[in-house]
Amino acid sequence: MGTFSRIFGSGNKDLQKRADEILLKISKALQSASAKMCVSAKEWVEGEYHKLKELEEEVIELEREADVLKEDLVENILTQHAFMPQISEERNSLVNRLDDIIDAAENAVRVITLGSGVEPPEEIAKLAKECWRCTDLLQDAVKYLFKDFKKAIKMTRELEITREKARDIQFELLGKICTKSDYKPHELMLFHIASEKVLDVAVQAEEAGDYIRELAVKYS
Amino acid sequence: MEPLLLALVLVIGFVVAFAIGTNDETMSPAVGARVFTLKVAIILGGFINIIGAISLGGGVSDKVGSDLVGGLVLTNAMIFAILISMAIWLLAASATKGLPISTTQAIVGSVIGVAIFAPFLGETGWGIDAIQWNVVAEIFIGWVISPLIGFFVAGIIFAGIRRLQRRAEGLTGRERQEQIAGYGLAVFLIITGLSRGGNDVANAIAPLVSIPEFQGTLSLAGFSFSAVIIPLLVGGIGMAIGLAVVGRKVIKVLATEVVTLSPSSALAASISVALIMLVGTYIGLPLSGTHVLVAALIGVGWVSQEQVKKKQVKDILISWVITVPISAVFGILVYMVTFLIF
Repeated sequence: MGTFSRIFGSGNKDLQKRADEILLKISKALQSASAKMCVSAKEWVEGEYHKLKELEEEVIELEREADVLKEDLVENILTQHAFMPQISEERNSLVNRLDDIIDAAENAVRVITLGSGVEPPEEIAKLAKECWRCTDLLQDAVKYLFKDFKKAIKMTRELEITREKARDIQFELLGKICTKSDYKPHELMLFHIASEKVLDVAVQAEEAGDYIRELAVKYS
Repeated sequence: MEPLLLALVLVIGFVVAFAIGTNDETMSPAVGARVFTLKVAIILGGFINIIGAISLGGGVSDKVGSDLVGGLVLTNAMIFAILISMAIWLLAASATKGLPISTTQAIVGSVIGVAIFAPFLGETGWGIDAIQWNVVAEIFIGWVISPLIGFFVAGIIFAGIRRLQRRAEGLTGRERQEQIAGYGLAVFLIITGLSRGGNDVANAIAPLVSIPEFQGTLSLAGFSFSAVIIPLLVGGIGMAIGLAVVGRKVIKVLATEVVTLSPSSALAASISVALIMLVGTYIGLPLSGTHVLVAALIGVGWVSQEQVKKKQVKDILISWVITVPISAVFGILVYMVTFLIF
C-alpha cells in the first residue's frame, strides 16, 4: 500500500490517523495556552503577581510542545504521502495558523509577566476573556470542519463577532488609559502593548477561522 | 525493400512517433490534480504508450488522411511528407511553448498542402480539385464545435459530481471522495492512455505496416511472432522517448497553466473527453481529442470557479488556428524532399 500510495500520491491510513491525532493535540494546546493567558490577565488585575511567572513558564512549555508536534506532522507525516498533495498543503496551512495563535498567546503572557507590580486596568482581564472565547470557538470550528461544514461556518461567524467585541473592549481600555492622567508613561506603554498582544490572539484566531470557513465553503 | 531504405523508413517512423509523444497530453489531468507527479506521469505514460502500441496498434489499416483525397491513392512520398511535416509542427509547438496541438489538424493541413502542390511535381489528378472540400468543411465544423461540446459536457458532468460531493458533510468525507476520485482518475487515464497509444502509433507507422518485410512472421529464440511488432515497437518506444524528452512541457502547460484542478474535476474532464470522443466516433463527427480536453479543463475550472489563465488559453487558441496553414506549408516543403527519395 505504501508504494501504491506513493505512486498515486494518496492514502496511508496509519499516517492519516496520526495526523488527525496531532491536529487534535495542537488544537488542545492552543486552547490551553489561551486559557492560561486569560488566567494570567485575571491574576495580573487581581495583583497575584507571584503566579504570573509560573503561568508564563507553562505557556512557553505548551508552545514548545506544539512546535514539536507541528514538526512531527510536517516532517514525518505530510512529507510521507499521508494525504494527497493539496490536502497536505491545506492541513499544513491550518496547523501553521493554529501554531501562530499559540505563539501569540505566549507573547501576550510574556508581556503580562513584565507588568508584575504594576496595577493594570480591569479591562485587560475582560479583553483576555473574550480572546479566550475566540479560541474556544476556533477549537469547535476545527472539530466541526472534519464533521460538519455548516456548523464549522457557524462557529467561525460567531468567532468573528466575538473578535469584534474584543476589539471594542481594547478601545475601551485605550480610552481609559489615555484619558486618565495618573498613569506613568512606561505604564501607558505597557498597557498598550499588553492589550495589543492579548488582542492579537483573537486576531490570529479570526484569521484561522477565516481559513476554516474558506475550506468549508470550498468543499461544501 | 533495400536495407538502407528500410532503415530510413523506420527512422522516419520513430521520429514521427517521437514527435507525437512530445505532444501527448493524456496524463496532464492527473498531473494537474497532483495524483501523479510529472516524473511518475512521464514514466507511466511511456510504458503505457509502448504497451498500447504493441497491443492495440496492430489494427492499422487506414492510410493517413486518405478521406480528404477520396478516390486518389497517396504515394509513399506524399505519406512521408505528410507525417514528417506533422512531426515538425508538433515538435515545434511542444518544444517551444508546450502547446497542445491536434495531430489530426496537422495531418489535414499537410494533406491539403501536399495535394495542392502535387501537380507542380508532375503528379496527375491532384490539385485543389482533388481535395474533398466537403470533408474538410465537416472536419472544420468538428474543430469549431469540439471545444464547445467539451466545455459544456465537462461543465455539466462536473456540476453533477459536485452535487453528489455535497453529501459529504465534513472535510474527512470530502478528502475520502477526492482520494477515490484520484484512484479513479489514475485507472481511467491508464486505460485511455493504452487506447491512445495504440491509435497514435497507428498514425506514425501506418506507411510501414504495408512494407512486405513487416508482413510475415519472425522467429527469435524459439518464439515466432508477427513482424509487424517491429514498427509497432519502434513507434511505441519513439512516443515514450518523445514524452520523456519534450512531452513534459506540454503536460506541465495543460496541468498547471490553464486552470487549477482537483482529482474530482480532473476526473470529470477526463470522463467527458472519453464520452465525447466515443459518441463523436459513433455518429461520425470528426472531433479533436486535444480541443475537447482543453475545453473540458476550462469547463470544470469554470464550474469550480477557479481562475482560467487567459493568456495561456489565448496562446493555445492561436496555435490551433495557425496549425492548418503552417502544416500545409511544411507539407509542401517536405514533399519536395521526399519526392526525390521515394
